[in-house]
Amino acid sequence: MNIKEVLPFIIPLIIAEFTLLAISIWHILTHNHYKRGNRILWLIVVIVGMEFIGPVLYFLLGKEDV
Amino acid sequence: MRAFLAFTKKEWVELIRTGRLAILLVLFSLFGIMNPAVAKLTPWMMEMMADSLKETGLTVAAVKVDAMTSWTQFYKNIPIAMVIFLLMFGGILTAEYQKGTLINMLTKGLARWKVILAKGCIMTATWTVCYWLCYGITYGYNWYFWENGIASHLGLAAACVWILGIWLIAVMLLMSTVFQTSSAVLAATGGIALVSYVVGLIPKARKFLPTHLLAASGMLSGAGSVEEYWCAVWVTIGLGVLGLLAAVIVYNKK
Repeated sequence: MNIKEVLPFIIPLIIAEFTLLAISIWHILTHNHYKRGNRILWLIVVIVGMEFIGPVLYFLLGKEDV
Repeated sequence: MRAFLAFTKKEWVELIRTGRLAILLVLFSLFGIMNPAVAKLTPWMMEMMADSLKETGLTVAAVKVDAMTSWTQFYKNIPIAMVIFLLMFGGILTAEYQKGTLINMLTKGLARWKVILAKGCIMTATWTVCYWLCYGITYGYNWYFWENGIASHLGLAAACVWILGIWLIAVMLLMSTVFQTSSAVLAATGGIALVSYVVGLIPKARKFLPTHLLAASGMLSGAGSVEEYWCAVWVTIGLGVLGLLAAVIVYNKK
Protein backbone atom coordinates (compact mmCIF):
# COMPACT_ATOMS: atom_id res chain seq x y z
CA MET A 1 0.00 0.00 0.00
CA ASN A 2 1.75 3.14 -1.09
CA ILE A 3 0.68 6.69 -0.58
CA LYS A 4 -0.21 7.25 -4.22
CA GLU A 5 -3.03 4.74 -4.08
CA VAL A 6 -4.65 6.45 -1.14
CA LEU A 7 -4.37 10.00 -2.45
CA PRO A 8 -7.53 9.89 -4.60
CA PHE A 9 -9.45 9.23 -1.38
CA ILE A 10 -7.58 11.37 1.07
CA ILE A 11 -7.83 14.62 -0.87
CA PRO A 12 -11.62 14.69 -1.39
CA LEU A 13 -12.16 13.35 2.13
CA ILE A 14 -10.09 16.16 3.61
CA ILE A 15 -11.89 18.73 1.48
CA ALA A 16 -15.33 17.39 2.45
CA GLU A 17 -14.49 17.18 6.14
CA PHE A 18 -13.05 20.65 6.28
CA THR A 19 -16.02 22.06 4.39
CA LEU A 20 -18.32 20.49 6.97
CA LEU A 21 -16.15 21.80 9.79
CA ALA A 22 -16.04 25.29 8.28
CA ILE A 23 -19.82 25.45 7.81
CA SER A 24 -20.43 24.32 11.39
CA ILE A 25 -17.90 26.66 13.00
CA TRP A 26 -19.19 29.56 10.97
CA HIS A 27 -22.71 28.72 12.03
CA ILE A 28 -21.77 28.38 15.70
CA LEU A 29 -19.90 31.68 15.75
CA THR A 30 -22.64 33.64 14.02
CA HIS A 31 -25.37 32.42 16.40
CA ASN A 32 -25.64 33.29 20.05
CA HIS A 33 -28.38 30.95 21.13
CA TYR A 34 -28.56 27.22 20.77
CA LYS A 35 -31.24 24.68 21.46
CA ARG A 36 -28.98 23.06 24.02
CA GLY A 37 -25.51 23.73 25.36
CA ASN A 38 -23.36 26.76 24.75
CA ARG A 39 -20.82 28.00 22.25
CA ILE A 40 -17.74 26.45 23.87
CA LEU A 41 -19.40 23.05 24.17
CA TRP A 42 -20.44 23.00 20.53
CA LEU A 43 -17.06 24.18 19.29
CA ILE A 44 -15.42 21.32 21.19
CA VAL A 45 -17.96 18.77 19.92
CA VAL A 46 -17.61 19.92 16.33
CA ILE A 47 -13.82 20.03 16.34
CA VAL A 48 -13.32 16.76 18.22
CA GLY A 49 -15.92 14.95 16.13
CA MET A 50 -14.95 16.60 12.87
CA GLU A 51 -14.96 13.39 10.86
CA PHE A 52 -18.64 14.16 10.24
CA ILE A 53 -20.32 13.10 13.49
CA GLY A 54 -19.62 16.41 15.31
CA PRO A 55 -21.20 18.72 12.72
CA VAL A 56 -24.14 16.34 12.33
CA LEU A 57 -24.74 16.37 16.08
CA TYR A 58 -24.59 20.15 16.10
CA PHE A 59 -27.07 20.58 13.27
CA LEU A 60 -29.44 18.02 14.74
CA LEU A 61 -29.30 18.94 18.42
CA GLY A 62 -27.65 22.32 18.80
CA LYS A 63 -28.92 24.51 16.01
CA GLU A 64 -31.81 26.68 17.02
CA ASP A 65 -34.83 26.50 14.73
CA VAL A 66 -35.09 29.73 12.83
CA MET B 1 -50.46 26.66 -9.26
CA ARG B 2 -48.91 30.03 -8.41
CA ALA B 3 -49.46 29.46 -4.71
CA PHE B 4 -47.91 26.02 -4.99
CA LEU B 5 -44.82 27.35 -6.76
CA ALA B 6 -44.46 30.20 -4.30
CA PHE B 7 -44.65 27.82 -1.35
CA THR B 8 -42.19 25.44 -2.96
CA LYS B 9 -39.84 28.35 -3.46
CA LYS B 10 -40.19 29.27 0.20
CA GLU B 11 -39.28 25.72 1.15
CA TRP B 12 -36.31 25.82 -1.19
CA VAL B 13 -35.01 29.07 0.31
CA GLU B 14 -35.45 27.60 3.77
CA LEU B 15 -33.46 24.55 2.75
CA ILE B 16 -30.54 26.69 1.67
CA ARG B 17 -30.69 29.31 4.43
CA THR B 18 -30.73 26.76 7.23
CA GLY B 19 -27.65 25.14 5.70
CA ARG B 20 -29.45 21.82 5.51
CA LEU B 21 -28.78 21.32 1.82
CA ALA B 22 -25.06 22.07 2.14
CA ILE B 23 -24.67 19.70 5.10
CA LEU B 24 -26.54 16.91 3.35
CA LEU B 25 -24.57 17.30 0.13
CA VAL B 26 -21.24 17.18 1.95
CA LEU B 27 -22.39 14.24 4.06
CA PHE B 28 -23.58 12.18 1.12
CA SER B 29 -20.33 12.88 -0.74
CA LEU B 30 -18.43 11.74 2.35
CA PHE B 31 -20.43 8.52 2.39
CA GLY B 32 -19.78 8.08 -1.32
CA ILE B 33 -16.03 8.42 -0.85
CA MET B 34 -15.91 6.21 2.23
CA ASN B 35 -17.30 3.11 0.46
CA PRO B 36 -14.45 2.55 -1.99
CA ALA B 37 -11.94 3.88 0.55
CA VAL B 38 -12.89 1.18 3.05
CA ALA B 39 -12.76 -1.44 0.31
CA LYS B 40 -9.34 -0.22 -0.77
CA LEU B 41 -8.02 -0.23 2.77
CA THR B 42 -9.29 -3.71 3.68
CA PRO B 43 -6.30 -5.71 2.37
CA TRP B 44 -3.94 -3.31 4.04
CA MET B 45 -5.72 -3.57 7.38
CA MET B 46 -5.79 -7.34 7.06
CA GLU B 47 -2.02 -7.29 6.56
CA MET B 48 -1.61 -5.19 9.65
CA MET B 49 -3.75 -7.54 11.65
CA ALA B 50 -2.23 -10.68 10.16
CA ASP B 51 0.86 -10.36 12.35
CA SER B 52 -1.04 -10.09 15.58
CA LEU B 53 -3.41 -12.82 14.49
CA LYS B 54 -0.55 -15.15 13.70
CA GLU B 55 0.38 -15.13 17.35
CA THR B 56 -3.05 -16.42 18.21
CA GLY B 57 -2.68 -19.12 15.60
CA LEU B 58 -4.92 -17.68 12.91
CA THR B 59 -3.63 -17.19 9.43
CA VAL B 60 -5.25 -14.77 7.10
CA ALA B 61 -5.38 -15.58 3.44
CA ALA B 62 -4.82 -12.74 1.01
CA VAL B 63 -8.09 -10.86 0.57
CA LYS B 64 -9.17 -10.02 -2.89
CA VAL B 65 -10.92 -6.70 -3.20
CA ASP B 66 -12.96 -5.62 -6.17
CA ALA B 67 -15.90 -3.40 -7.03
CA MET B 68 -18.25 -5.79 -5.22
CA THR B 69 -16.57 -5.08 -1.88
CA SER B 70 -17.14 -1.42 -2.43
CA TRP B 71 -20.78 -1.90 -3.45
CA THR B 72 -21.37 -4.06 -0.39
CA GLN B 73 -20.08 -1.18 1.69
CA PHE B 74 -22.43 1.15 -0.17
CA TYR B 75 -25.50 -0.89 0.77
CA LYS B 76 -24.25 -1.27 4.31
CA ASN B 77 -23.76 2.46 4.79
CA ILE B 78 -26.70 3.93 2.90
CA PRO B 79 -29.24 3.15 5.68
CA ILE B 80 -27.17 5.32 8.04
CA ALA B 81 -27.20 8.14 5.51
CA MET B 82 -30.95 7.63 5.11
CA VAL B 83 -31.50 7.91 8.87
CA ILE B 84 -29.48 11.13 9.04
CA PHE B 85 -31.47 12.50 6.12
CA LEU B 86 -34.78 11.74 7.86
CA LEU B 87 -33.51 13.18 11.16
CA MET B 88 -32.64 16.41 9.37
CA PHE B 89 -36.17 16.66 8.00
CA GLY B 90 -37.96 15.42 11.13
CA GLY B 91 -39.36 18.84 11.94
CA ILE B 92 -40.44 19.79 8.44
CA LEU B 93 -44.08 20.28 9.44
CA THR B 94 -43.97 20.17 13.23
CA ALA B 95 -41.57 23.11 13.44
CA GLU B 96 -44.16 25.15 11.54
CA TYR B 97 -46.97 24.10 13.89
CA GLN B 98 -44.93 25.16 16.89
CA LYS B 99 -44.04 28.52 15.44
CA GLY B 100 -47.48 28.99 13.95
CA THR B 101 -45.99 30.15 10.66
CA LEU B 102 -48.49 28.25 8.53
CA ILE B 103 -51.64 29.77 10.03
CA ASN B 104 -51.25 33.04 8.18
CA MET B 105 -50.83 31.40 4.83
CA LEU B 106 -53.65 28.93 5.36
CA THR B 107 -56.13 31.60 6.42
CA LYS B 108 -55.13 33.64 3.38
CA GLY B 109 -56.33 30.81 1.21
CA LEU B 110 -53.39 28.54 0.57
CA ALA B 111 -54.82 25.07 -0.01
CA ARG B 112 -53.65 22.55 2.54
CA TRP B 113 -52.76 19.87 0.07
CA LYS B 114 -50.34 22.27 -1.58
CA VAL B 115 -48.41 22.57 1.67
CA ILE B 116 -48.00 18.81 1.90
CA LEU B 117 -47.20 18.41 -1.76
CA ALA B 118 -44.63 21.21 -1.80
CA LYS B 119 -42.85 19.79 1.22
CA GLY B 120 -42.97 16.31 -0.27
CA CYS B 121 -41.54 17.56 -3.56
CA ILE B 122 -38.69 19.41 -1.92
CA MET B 123 -37.77 16.46 0.29
CA THR B 124 -37.95 14.02 -2.60
CA ALA B 125 -35.84 16.28 -4.78
CA THR B 126 -33.22 16.66 -2.04
CA TRP B 127 -33.18 12.92 -1.43
CA THR B 128 -32.83 12.24 -5.15
CA VAL B 129 -29.92 14.61 -5.61
CA CYS B 130 -28.10 13.49 -2.46
CA TYR B 131 -28.62 9.80 -3.05
CA TRP B 132 -27.51 9.75 -6.67
CA LEU B 133 -24.58 11.97 -5.81
CA CYS B 134 -23.44 9.37 -3.27
CA TYR B 135 -24.05 6.61 -5.81
CA GLY B 136 -22.23 8.50 -8.56
CA ILE B 137 -19.15 9.08 -6.43
CA THR B 138 -18.94 5.42 -5.43
CA TYR B 139 -19.53 4.43 -9.04
CA GLY B 140 -16.77 6.72 -10.26
CA TYR B 141 -14.22 5.38 -7.82
CA ASN B 142 -15.16 1.81 -8.56
CA TRP B 143 -14.82 2.46 -12.24
CA TYR B 144 -11.41 4.02 -11.66
CA PHE B 145 -9.97 1.30 -9.44
CA TRP B 146 -11.77 -1.84 -10.51
CA GLU B 147 -14.38 -3.01 -12.98
CA ASN B 148 -18.03 -2.20 -12.41
CA GLY B 149 -18.86 -4.90 -14.91
CA ILE B 150 -18.75 -7.70 -12.37
CA ALA B 151 -21.83 -6.35 -10.64
CA SER B 152 -25.05 -6.77 -12.58
CA HIS B 153 -28.14 -4.53 -12.38
CA LEU B 154 -26.26 -1.76 -10.59
CA GLY B 155 -28.68 1.01 -11.43
CA LEU B 156 -31.74 -1.10 -10.73
CA ALA B 157 -30.54 -2.17 -7.30
CA ALA B 158 -29.69 1.43 -6.46
CA ALA B 159 -33.12 2.58 -7.64
CA CYS B 160 -34.72 0.12 -5.18
CA VAL B 161 -33.09 1.79 -2.20
CA TRP B 162 -33.97 5.19 -3.67
CA ILE B 163 -37.65 4.20 -3.85
CA LEU B 164 -37.47 3.01 -0.25
CA GLY B 165 -36.23 6.48 0.69
CA ILE B 166 -39.18 8.11 -1.07
CA TRP B 167 -41.57 5.81 0.78
CA LEU B 168 -40.02 6.82 4.11
CA ILE B 169 -40.45 10.48 3.14
CA ALA B 170 -44.15 9.87 2.47
CA VAL B 171 -44.50 8.05 5.80
CA MET B 172 -42.79 10.91 7.57
CA LEU B 173 -45.15 13.43 5.99
CA LEU B 174 -48.13 11.38 7.10
CA MET B 175 -46.76 11.15 10.64
CA SER B 176 -46.07 14.89 10.60
CA THR B 177 -49.76 15.52 10.02
CA VAL B 178 -50.73 13.16 12.83
CA PHE B 179 -48.26 14.16 15.56
CA GLN B 180 -47.30 17.53 16.97
CA THR B 181 -43.62 17.12 17.85
CA SER B 182 -40.72 16.09 15.66
CA SER B 183 -39.54 13.41 18.10
CA ALA B 184 -42.94 11.72 17.89
CA VAL B 185 -42.81 11.94 14.11
CA LEU B 186 -39.37 10.34 13.98
CA ALA B 187 -40.30 7.65 16.48
CA ALA B 188 -43.44 6.77 14.52
CA THR B 189 -41.57 6.68 11.20
CA GLY B 190 -38.90 4.47 12.73
CA GLY B 191 -41.66 2.33 14.22
CA ILE B 192 -43.26 1.76 10.83
CA ALA B 193 -39.93 0.82 9.29
CA LEU B 194 -39.36 -1.54 12.21
CA VAL B 195 -42.78 -3.16 11.74
CA SER B 196 -41.96 -3.73 8.07
CA TYR B 197 -38.63 -5.25 9.09
CA VAL B 198 -40.11 -7.53 11.75
CA VAL B 199 -42.89 -8.77 9.47
CA GLY B 200 -40.15 -9.38 6.91
CA LEU B 201 -38.73 -12.06 9.18
CA ILE B 202 -41.57 -14.25 7.95
CA PRO B 203 -40.10 -15.68 4.74
CA LYS B 204 -43.40 -15.71 2.85
CA ALA B 205 -44.22 -12.08 3.53
CA ARG B 206 -40.74 -10.74 2.95
CA LYS B 207 -41.14 -10.30 -0.79
CA PHE B 208 -43.97 -7.82 -0.44
CA LEU B 209 -42.41 -5.47 2.08
CA PRO B 210 -40.68 -2.15 1.50
CA THR B 211 -37.72 -3.02 3.72
CA HIS B 212 -37.01 -5.95 1.40
CA LEU B 213 -35.66 -3.32 -1.00
CA LEU B 214 -32.70 -2.80 1.32
CA ALA B 215 -31.59 -6.27 0.37
CA ALA B 216 -31.63 -5.30 -3.31
CA SER B 217 -27.85 -5.56 -3.33
CA GLY B 218 -28.47 -9.28 -3.76
CA MET B 219 -29.10 -8.45 -7.40
CA LEU B 220 -25.50 -7.38 -7.89
CA SER B 221 -23.90 -10.71 -7.26
CA GLY B 222 -26.70 -12.52 -9.04
CA ALA B 223 -27.79 -14.15 -5.76
CA GLY B 224 -31.25 -12.67 -6.12
CA SER B 225 -33.22 -12.34 -9.30
CA VAL B 226 -34.67 -9.03 -10.44
CA GLU B 227 -38.22 -10.40 -10.43
CA GLU B 228 -37.93 -11.04 -6.73
CA TYR B 229 -37.96 -7.31 -6.08
CA TRP B 230 -40.73 -6.14 -8.38
CA CYS B 231 -43.44 -6.94 -5.85
CA ALA B 232 -41.68 -4.97 -3.16
CA VAL B 233 -41.14 -2.06 -5.56
CA TRP B 234 -44.82 -1.85 -6.48
CA VAL B 235 -45.98 -2.26 -2.90
CA THR B 236 -43.58 0.47 -1.81
CA ILE B 237 -44.72 2.87 -4.51
CA GLY B 238 -48.36 2.07 -3.70
CA LEU B 239 -47.84 2.59 0.02
CA GLY B 240 -45.99 5.83 -0.68
CA VAL B 241 -48.86 7.24 -2.74
CA LEU B 242 -51.37 6.06 -0.12
CA GLY B 243 -49.27 7.66 2.59
CA LEU B 244 -49.25 10.95 0.74
CA LEU B 245 -53.02 10.82 0.16
CA ALA B 246 -53.62 9.96 3.80
CA ALA B 247 -51.38 12.84 4.82
CA VAL B 248 -53.47 15.26 2.75
CA ILE B 249 -56.74 13.87 4.16
CA VAL B 250 -55.55 14.00 7.77
CA TYR B 251 -54.15 17.47 7.28
CA ASN B 252 -57.39 18.73 5.76
CA LYS B 253 -59.24 17.69 8.90
CA LYS B 254 -56.93 19.52 11.27
